[in-house]
Formats: sequence, C-alpha cells, structure tokens
Amino acid sequence: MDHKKCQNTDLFIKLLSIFVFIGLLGAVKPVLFNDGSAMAKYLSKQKQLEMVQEANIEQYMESALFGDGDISLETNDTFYTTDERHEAVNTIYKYDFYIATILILLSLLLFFPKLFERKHLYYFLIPIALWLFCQSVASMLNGGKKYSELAIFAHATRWGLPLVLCMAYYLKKRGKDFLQNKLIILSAVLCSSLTFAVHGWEAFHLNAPFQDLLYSFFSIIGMNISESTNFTILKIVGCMDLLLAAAILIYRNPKIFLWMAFWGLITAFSRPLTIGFDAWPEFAMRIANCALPLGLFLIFRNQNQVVLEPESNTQKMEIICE
Amino acid sequence: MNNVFKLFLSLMLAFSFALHSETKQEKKKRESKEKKERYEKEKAEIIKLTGKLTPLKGTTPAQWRVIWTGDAAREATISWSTAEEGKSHKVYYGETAKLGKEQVCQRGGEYTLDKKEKEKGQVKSAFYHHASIKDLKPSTKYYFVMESDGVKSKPLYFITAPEKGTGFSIIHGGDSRSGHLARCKVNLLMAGLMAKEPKIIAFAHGGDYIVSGKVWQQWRLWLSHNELTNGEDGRVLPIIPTRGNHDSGPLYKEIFNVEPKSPDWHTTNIGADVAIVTLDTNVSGGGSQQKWLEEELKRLRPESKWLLTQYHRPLYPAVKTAPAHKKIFCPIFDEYQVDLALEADGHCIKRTIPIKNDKADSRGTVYVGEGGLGVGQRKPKTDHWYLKGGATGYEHHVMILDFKDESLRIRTVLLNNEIYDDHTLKVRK
Repeated sequence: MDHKKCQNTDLFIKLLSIFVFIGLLGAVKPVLFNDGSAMAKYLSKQKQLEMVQEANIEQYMESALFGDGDISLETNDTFYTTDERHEAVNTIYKYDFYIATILILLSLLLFFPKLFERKHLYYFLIPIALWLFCQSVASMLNGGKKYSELAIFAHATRWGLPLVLCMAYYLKKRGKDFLQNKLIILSAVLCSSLTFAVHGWEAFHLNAPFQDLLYSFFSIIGMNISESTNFTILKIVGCMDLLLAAAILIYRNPKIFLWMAFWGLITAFSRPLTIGFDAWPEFAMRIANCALPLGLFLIFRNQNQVVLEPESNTQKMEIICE
Repeated sequence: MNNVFKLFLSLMLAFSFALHSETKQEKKKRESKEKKERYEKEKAEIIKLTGKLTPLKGTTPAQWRVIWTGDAAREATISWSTAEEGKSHKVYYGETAKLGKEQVCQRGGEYTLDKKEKEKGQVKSAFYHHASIKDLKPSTKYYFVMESDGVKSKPLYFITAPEKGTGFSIIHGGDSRSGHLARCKVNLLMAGLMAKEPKIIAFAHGGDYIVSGKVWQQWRLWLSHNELTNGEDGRVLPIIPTRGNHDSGPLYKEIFNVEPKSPDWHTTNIGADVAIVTLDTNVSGGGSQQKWLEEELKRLRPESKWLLTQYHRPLYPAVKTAPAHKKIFCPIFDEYQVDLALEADGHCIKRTIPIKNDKADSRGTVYVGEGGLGVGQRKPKTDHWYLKGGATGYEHHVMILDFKDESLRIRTVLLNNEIYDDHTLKVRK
C-alpha cells in the first residue's frame, strides 16, 4: 500500500509538473513571439491613454457636448511626444518579455525535482500562478470577447495548477501525505469546478467560438452538421459541463475526474485540430483543464468512497480509504 | 611652468564642466518649453474641434449619420440623436437645396444604458431616430434637413452610388476606439480627403468604434466625433457599418438601424458592379452565416466586377492569431473569387499577397486593413508568408479604394496625407 502511495505521489507531481510547463509555454508563446501578454496590452493601453491625457480630453468634450461636469480643459504640464509614448509602451512590452522569459526559464526547474528536496526552490511556482492570474484579470479588463468578464473563473485551472503543485511540493518536503491534504483537494476541485462551470455556461448559451469549433470539427471528419444539430450538441455539452462542475463539489468519484480530464484534453486539442497547428498555444494553455481533474483522479483512484458530513457549521470531508 | 600648465588645464576642465552642465540645464528648459507649447497647441486644437461639433441638447438634431446597408444607389437611412425624446421626427430631402420630399422616422427609441450607467445615474441617455428613404436616383446629390419637434438641423447632403459602372472611391478603416484626439484627427483627414477627391462616396467602417459597446457614454462621443468627417459644405459620407468585437450589446443595432433580432451581416451594393458583403466575426461563422455568405457570393459574383468582403477579425492577421472563421470563410472566398477582403482588429497597416487555398496565388483574394482610426498602433509580425511581398506598418491611417473598370487601387493614407502604400489589383477576366 505504501509503495503504491509513493508511486501515486511521484506520478502526481511528475504529471502536474509537465502540465505546468506546457501550460506556461502556451501562455508565454504570444509574449515571446507575438504581440505580448494580456497584461502588457492592458497596461500599455492605460499608459497610452494616460500620456495623451485622454481623461482630460474626454471630460472636456463631455461637458461641452453633453453638459456633463466642468467645461474647463485642465492644463497639464506633462506633455509627451509621440516618441516618448512609443518608448513607454515599448518599455512595458520589454518588461513583459523579460518576465515571461524568466518564468519559462524558472519552470525548467520542474524537470529537476530533486533540487526541491533540499531547498524551497519550488516557491517560484507562486509567481507563475500569480502571473497567470494577472493575465486572467487583464483578459477580463481588456474585454472585447463575449464572457470576458468571467475570465478569472474560466481560467481557474490555469492559475490554480501551479498553486496546487506548489502546495504538493511544500507538503512533500515536510514528509506529509499531500494526496490526503484537504487544502490541495479543495483547491483542485474548486478550480476545476469553476472552469467547467464557466465553459458549460458558455456552451449552453451557444458561445460563437464553440459553434465554430464544432462546425470545423465535423467538416474535418467529412460531415456537415446543421445549425440546429450544432446548437443541440452545445446545449448537451453545456449541461454536461455544468453537471460535472456541480457533481465534483459533492461527490469525489474517480470516474468523474477521469472523464473530466479526458474531456479537458479533447476540448483543448480541438483548437489546433480545427484551427491548425499554429494554434498549439491554445491547446497548451488549456492543458490545465485536463491536468487538475487528472490529478484528482490520481488522488481518488484508490479511494472508493468520500462522504461529506457537516461538523460545527462547516462541512468536513471524510475520506474513507480502502 | 609645469604648475601653471596644470592650473590652466584644471581651469579649462572646470569651465568646460560648468559649461556642459549649463547646456544640459538649458536643454531641459528648452525641451520643457517646447512640450508646454505643444500641449497648449493641442489644447487649442481640442477646443477648436469641440467647437465644431453640434451639442446634444433638447430636440436639436445632432450626431447625424447616413447608413448604407442595401442598394446604395436607391436607398439610404438618415439617422440622428436628440437629447430629449420629442414627438415628431422627420427628414426633408430632395435633389436641390429646396428639398421637397419628407420622410417621417420609421424607427426610434431610447439608447440603452449600461447597467453601471443606470446604477450611477451620472450619464443621461438620448434618443435615436431613423428615417429610411427609398426610390432615390443613382449618382445624385441629395440634400437633407432633419427636424425634431420643429427644431431643424443645418442643411446637409450626400451622394448616392451610381447605378452601374465604377469611377468612384470609398474609404475603409477600422478601430476608432481609444484615443479621442487621434480619432478626431483621422476624421478630419477623411473630411479633407473627401474635399480633395469628391469621388469618395462612402466610408466602410471595419468595427470597434469604441472600447465597450454596451456603454452609451463612449458611443455618444464617437457619434459626435463622426460629425468631423462631414465636409465644410455639409457633405456627409455614408457609413457601411461592421460590428467589431468591442461593439457588443444593443447599442450597435440602435445606432445603425438594425432590427433587434436581425443578424449584423448585410450586403451593400454600390451600383451594379461593386458589392461589399459585410460579415460578423462576433458570432459563429458556420450555420446560418455560412449559408447566407455562400448564397450571397454565388448570386453576386457573376454580376459584380468587384466583389469585396468586410468583417472585423482578420483571417490572415498581421498581429494576432486567426479566428475559427478562417476555415469557414476562406474556402468560400476562394470558390467565388472575392477580390478584396477588408479587415480590422489588429491595430496596424496590412496588405497581404493574393491568397487562394491558403497559398500564394495570383488568382486569390487580397486581405487589407487591420484598423487605425484612432486606436494605438501595434507592430505587425512581418515574417508571415502572406505578408512577404505585401505591406505592413503601424500608424494611424485610412485606406482609399478607387474602383475603375479595369483596376482597383488601394491607397493607405497616413495622418499627414502621405501615401504609405499604393497597390493596384487588376480586374478578373
């Protein structure tokens, strides 16, 4: 049993480490080779607007045209030339590039887990999680996409995965059995549930990119589906995702986690499959949707029953092992 | 002697250091003065620009626009806003300044406020009025005056599209969100171009008018700024609208006279020989949009000399990655030999080489645009295969499309009127 547990522990850490690396690779690819991260876009936009004194201009025009507020145009001694504005934006993108490079280089440490046995080097997973979280917040603030206001929850597995891995390393270093740790389980379950719930909600409401994924997928396999078929499939998928999101909050059934991991992998893979190999970062970023449920499957595959019992106004999770 | 020489050298060094530091200070002062002067100039410019615009007050018609979404030779929608609801809204129009005809608004209502705008209560809504006029004569100057509760607008006019043939131009651009001053400057550029080249008859907007499509406070500024595209003589450039990814919510339909349940895709026929098929990349490219696109292109290709498509998200992007629409739209463009695809969203200047079946092919479609009507520009990724031999850049701009029987010229014009890119397509035989 102990040997089996040890095997499980190692497998859990190895798998999650690989997934964190792949996920981060997908997230940093646009920064290193394209136009920058969501956060850089948001910050550069804000900086540009600040430097052209957009707020002043807006306020003046609002008052002159619509009678809102003060009509004066504030005099500001700080004026920036176009070159200075470009320089400020370039600086943001430069730091964005540096940060992404440092994070991806740090993540290479994941392939040398023995380093973590001696020192708390795994703490670098916290800035990775924080960076990914900030990207979700920036996606939400940037807008421009339907449901972008739900980005933080939709991306919960992305920023949750490095956090869970960090906790696992921390407990492992202290010689504790992290596979039984409630905080790890709760974090992984909550993040998976949030991501599945938002995706389910979007699918149920016939989110346009999902429709296109279905059309493209079926055309690849030589079938042209009708709009009503597409909508029916999305409604079913939406219901399934919502049910799964709710189910894992109550039941800890390894079969459910395994199905979620499989489904997470399929949906992530659907991007490069339908859009083309150029979209591999889309797959890599979404690998966390498979990783956390898979981690939960590893935790629960040798446990046949999990019961939730109320205790002192809180729900205590009691795990009954085989 | 040696000591005297050392003393002399030290003095020289000290003097040059003092001189240098003084120069540095002077330079700083000069730069600061220059900056202040520039700011004052810009401030004066903003005040002057704002003074040109019609305030939204009472029932005075303001924020007018002419919309083309059908047969541009015979139909148009004249729309405007009023601060107060009013009771009677109509447009007087005719082929001379005497007008003679009138059309009561068929559609109107209150612009929808965003949830936050409603909660805060700081922003007042306004009212839209749409008068669709039909049975117009092609290639004709139509004068019009809008009236709301007896308050009339200044006289304005627009020119209808020709019945057939070419010999006219349209302006294309996208992304007028963020950057009010830059947006105003591009609008003035358009007005200037229209005055210089009266053959320009319309403005195809590629979408992303404002940052957040649900916020009326942002739309109302865009609508007022649009007045700057008007000519000094009262000429209005009809808009061929496209919905961008930032233009979500009900306001887009309220502003451009689209029925709430109707899709945002449409065909604008600029005479019998030029057709612009506008698509919506915010909704699925498959299903009903795909079916409609196939039917439209099949119908239009045999009868159109120039067949164009217009949509927001680029299928051959210079900055971002391609949307899922690419796999759906491109094969249809290839099949029906679309000549030119107008794109936005990337915030840069782009012209691809002709593309067919996802490969360079002289018989293929050229993809241009990416948007520079005010939004901050991004550096395009120039190493894409489809951009080698094309053109890229990142400056505020508009594109002028000159339609002729044998050729279609695409000029990218910058804010200083400089032509950044000039490319000509030959008509398909």
